[in-house]
Amino acid sequence: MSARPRAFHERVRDAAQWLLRRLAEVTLAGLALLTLVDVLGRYVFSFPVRGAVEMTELLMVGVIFSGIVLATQRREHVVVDLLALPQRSGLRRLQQGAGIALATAISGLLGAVTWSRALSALDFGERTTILGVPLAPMVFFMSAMLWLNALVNAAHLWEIARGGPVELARPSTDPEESTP
Amino acid sequence: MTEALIGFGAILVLMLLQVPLAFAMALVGLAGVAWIRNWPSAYSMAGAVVFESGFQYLLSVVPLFVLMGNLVTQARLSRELYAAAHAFVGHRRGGLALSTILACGGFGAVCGSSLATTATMAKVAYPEMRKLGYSPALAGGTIAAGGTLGILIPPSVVMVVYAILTEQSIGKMFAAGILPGLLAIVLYMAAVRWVTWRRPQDGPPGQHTPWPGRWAALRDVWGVAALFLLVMGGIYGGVFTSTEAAGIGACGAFLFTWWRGRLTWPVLSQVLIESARTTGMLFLVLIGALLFANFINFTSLPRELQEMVKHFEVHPIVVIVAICAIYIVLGCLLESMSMVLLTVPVFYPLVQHLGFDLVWFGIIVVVVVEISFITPPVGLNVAVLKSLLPGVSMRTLFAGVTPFVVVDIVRLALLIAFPGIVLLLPRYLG
Repeated sequence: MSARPRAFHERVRDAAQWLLRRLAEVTLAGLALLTLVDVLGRYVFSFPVRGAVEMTELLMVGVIFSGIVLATQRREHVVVDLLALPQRSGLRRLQQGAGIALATAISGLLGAVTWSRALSALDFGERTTILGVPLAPMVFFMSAMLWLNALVNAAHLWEIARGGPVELARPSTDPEESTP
Repeated sequence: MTEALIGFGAILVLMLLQVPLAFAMALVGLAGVAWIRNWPSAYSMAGAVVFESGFQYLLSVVPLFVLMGNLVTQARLSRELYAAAHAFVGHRRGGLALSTILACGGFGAVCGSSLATTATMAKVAYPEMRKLGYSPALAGGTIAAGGTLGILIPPSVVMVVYAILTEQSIGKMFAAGILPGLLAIVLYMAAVRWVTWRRPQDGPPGQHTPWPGRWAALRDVWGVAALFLLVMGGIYGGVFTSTEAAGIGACGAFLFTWWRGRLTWPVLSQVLIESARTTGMLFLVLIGALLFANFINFTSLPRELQEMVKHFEVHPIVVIVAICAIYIVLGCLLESMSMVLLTVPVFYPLVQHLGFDLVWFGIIVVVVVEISFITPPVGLNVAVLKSLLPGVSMRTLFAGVTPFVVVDIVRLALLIAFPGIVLLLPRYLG
């Protein structure tokens, strides 16, 4: 039996997921390697990496904001389960739905405030001191990731509204992932 | 103060709705500043907090220590650590439980996470203890309690976050954790001895290992010692900063795991992504906590707390004991990192005002966080253990950790009564 052809939105979702993963891998590995090269360069060759601190900060943006979306996708953000409602009850579904709806709105709001910070970085032509890297694109990226995060939350909400499972952190359905 | 109390109430309501804590704190922080000042101030403050959290060089220690811990976990060092500890103390009554505590301490020296330490040691130590006839309560309780050593013995992610929040030196914080960590090991071992003294059948002795066997077992754990010395030696030898130490530690852990043949491309990819996810989760909580802390600073709460202490002429130690009591109660309800991020901005100005050393207070906070890992109903270490040992009831596990909670309280009292235990090493190191 041949596999069902994937819908357009599924292909977009998978491509976005692939990109986010590669971004997380490259920026985090880059962060560790940069420190190693900088320390070795300084002590062994008396030649530290120019602008290592700035590069670290730029890589951090990649790790943090791709990580935020990846964590939301797995619903790993810290939730305190104070009310012990039965997993399958309608009340539980309502509680989860309300929580995710609010998280979607707040993530969107944070995306918006970051977007206006990015606009101001663009207006003032803010750059890093040593390497002169323009900051605005990085801040636009932060904002875009927070909006993407809101979108992932909205997708969770849609799943719950359609009767999907309501549990908190859950195993991914992504074929790339399995427990190491 | 009313505004701050309403803020805490709003967070509680949002938590009941299961809004992730990070978003709850962010919303209350943003709305709170808008209420006290105005909306444009709140808007630009939030933009600045998100921006600055992303571009913080110092905070790069967080993903790098998380990566180091995840790589070390992949290296499957736990079996060798356990075997080495077992070779020395396994023949005593409760020897396997004592070995577990020592192995957890060793693992904590290269991994800054309690959950990872618990999960890793559970797979090795629990089957061995059960095979020898240990009671599930002692076996489970020992692993859950031993796992908490992960955040006290440096490097520790909680310590890094505390140091950044209170603008303390990460190097001094790490140095401050060493003696309390050793004290914790001694007291946990005393708890095991006490349990097996009362009920010898709960922890029968294992086989005696002759000295050549002991040295051979010790040789197998050189990697842990090398990694610990690389990171700590590098910091205190002045070779690199704590931020650089995290990067070097992650690279060292990578090489070590690769050398042990545990690192394939898929494993490396998963370790990196898992570390990025943990980083994202921690930073979102951090952004939320900073927004909330900004709101709290706009309220009169920090000043009024100080005035209240002055007005009622409360002895400073009573204030510290009260804060610890609040932490222990909160620890029963809140996840540990969130608890630190939510409360430290409120308490630390008061503690500083009373003249206490913030490095010392940081260790006190870490110790109460450790207690929260094993107290019901949230006790995360116990929950992790339960997921790995489905046949053991939560009641049994919580009964098993009780003696360890008692010695934790004793340790907390000792650290409050004798701050020198914490502050001796930072005086010479860091």
